[in-house]
Amino acid sequence: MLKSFQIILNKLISWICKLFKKNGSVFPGSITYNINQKILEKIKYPKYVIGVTGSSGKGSTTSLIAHTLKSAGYDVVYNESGSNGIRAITTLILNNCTIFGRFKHEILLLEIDEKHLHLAFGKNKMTHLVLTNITRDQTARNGSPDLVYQSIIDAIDESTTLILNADDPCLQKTQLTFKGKIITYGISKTKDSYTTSKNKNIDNAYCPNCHKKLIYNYYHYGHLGNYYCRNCDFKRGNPDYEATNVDLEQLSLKINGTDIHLNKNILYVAYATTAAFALCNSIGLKTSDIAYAFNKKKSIAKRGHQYKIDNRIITMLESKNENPLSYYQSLKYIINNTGKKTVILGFDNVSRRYKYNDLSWLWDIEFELLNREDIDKILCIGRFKYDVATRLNYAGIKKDKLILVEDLDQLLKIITEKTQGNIYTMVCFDMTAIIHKLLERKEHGNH
Amino acid sequence: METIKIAHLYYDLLNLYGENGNVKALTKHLEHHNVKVITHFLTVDDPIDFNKYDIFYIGSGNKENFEIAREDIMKRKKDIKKIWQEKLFIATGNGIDLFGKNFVTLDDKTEKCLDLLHFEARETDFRIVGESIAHHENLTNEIIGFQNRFSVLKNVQEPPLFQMIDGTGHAPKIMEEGIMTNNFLGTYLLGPILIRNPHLTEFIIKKLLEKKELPYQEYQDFYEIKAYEEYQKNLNANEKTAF
Repeated sequence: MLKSFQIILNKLISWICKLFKKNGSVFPGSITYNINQKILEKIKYPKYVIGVTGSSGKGSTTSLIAHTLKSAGYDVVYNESGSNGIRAITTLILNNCTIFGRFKHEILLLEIDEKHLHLAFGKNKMTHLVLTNITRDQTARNGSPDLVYQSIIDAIDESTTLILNADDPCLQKTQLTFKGKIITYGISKTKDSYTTSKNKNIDNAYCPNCHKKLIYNYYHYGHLGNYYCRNCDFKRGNPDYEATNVDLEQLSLKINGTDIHLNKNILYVAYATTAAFALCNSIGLKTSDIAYAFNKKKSIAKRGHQYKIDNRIITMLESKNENPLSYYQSLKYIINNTGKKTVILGFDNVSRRYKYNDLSWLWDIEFELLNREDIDKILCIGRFKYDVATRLNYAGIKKDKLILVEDLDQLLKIITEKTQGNIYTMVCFDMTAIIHKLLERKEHGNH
Repeated sequence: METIKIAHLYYDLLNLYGENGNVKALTKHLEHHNVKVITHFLTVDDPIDFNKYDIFYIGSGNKENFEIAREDIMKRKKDIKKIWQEKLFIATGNGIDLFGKNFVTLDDKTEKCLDLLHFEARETDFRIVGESIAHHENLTNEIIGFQNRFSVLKNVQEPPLFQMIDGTGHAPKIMEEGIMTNNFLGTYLLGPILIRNPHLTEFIIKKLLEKKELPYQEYQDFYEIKAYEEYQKNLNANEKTAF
């Protein structure tokens, strides 16, 4: 009875949120979850319950899987809003149940926060789990990446089939201990791959099995790449699903020989695409159906909405604070574009989750990439702009290229008057929202 | 031109909190004083001639990496002992744990450490995380930093580096933090602390230059100082806003 009550309550609160046009993705679940935290264990789930977790790339992987499954005619429910904590997941699941607790759709697909996985289900509920990567991310909350990995592994048992990124040794080590089924994916050497680690501080530099230093044939970024141990037989090997011929300019790659279209010219999308391919194929979708979804019914990339100022394009790239590889992807994207560029960087708060402002991660980001001729100016914004400027100056970028923006309301004026080239913002969500508002205001002529 | 050589030890293991920034800070400050800096990144199994270097830097890492580094550094104990008094050692985060007698794990295993300082490091079943403010007796500016650790120091006999104003010292409820001797500077504060506290870095450099009988000239970087000042302002503002 309690179960039905929780479900009805959840639906009711969601309906009220909708009525008052409030974001109802988290709030209803937070109420019902607090009534009985075991509620999600009591639901009758469909044949496929698919989870997607990892330090980054969860959102893009999830939406590509959803797109592909839908295109093949499946009835899929997923957390489209990107809210991926236990409360949002509770809201989503209960809203899609009958009042007797039967999930009403064919497939439940969930992007799940890596630290909330153990809260979400009993161990045997999830049929498939896609693991994108484990990198340093929000260390003030997570401690170190190995602790994040452990909390994921502790949340599952061998009844879940894992689809994991073999380019990440921290995930590949699951092969050493996991008793269930593992399907691997990865990306073969691209023209951007490099052979010596530019960034000396990669995670997982040592073999998880015998603790000798891993040898890399090549790196994609961070500690993702093709590695092996000289001392034991731990290695990346040949993944079950491998992307080859990655061409970011032509937006294309091949997965196990099939041509696939990419929806954005950035490598993490190649990972997300390969992961989605692997997952969909392993639950029975035909290669041709998957290819049709990617190539004919092209999906729209979530990130990178474009505005213009005086015919100069503004590209808004989201970079997650405390996640050096997320910043790295934005940096790579920026420098891969030709022509003069202006970059906007900075934040008011390190985290939305907690009040700590740890700044150490700024030193793990390869800002040295911005030390080049075609970067015209870098605008430092937010409360920590001087810390950002310090870091950039240490990266070899001359002080006359840095503009410290004291008053954000002047941002667009400064851009017009003092900078050249296309504009790239590479900031976190809350700053993106602020800049977005400034641009909207300008577009509506109130500036 | 005078040259100073820095060995960044276990750069690929003890590197969890942007520690490379500390070496960059030392380098930049020294270069300002017309000293040429050569940095070598050294790790497990690398041949290391300890005589060659003036400064040894060690950062922090997770438990597994700490253990790999500990096993390796123990093989070098004799070599380190020989040069210990003449060189400058700087440790941030749990790198400091390597210099005591032992590291005692949660399951009560006692792992031998370098035994150069009189303390014992103990793994904790909780993490100590948070922004920290400290005082150094020779500096008027407070020290700012961050802690994120899973060990405490017991039975410390050497003088502390800092008095904590806000944050955790050697262990909870102890306000003394870190260790400072003639040749050793160690702290659990991260940040990277030498970037974020230019006054502290200058204090270290000044001592080093004196030892080498090199002239010292005032160093100030606008961004570093502003970042330091703004942080203090922000911290006060944070206290007032409820998160």
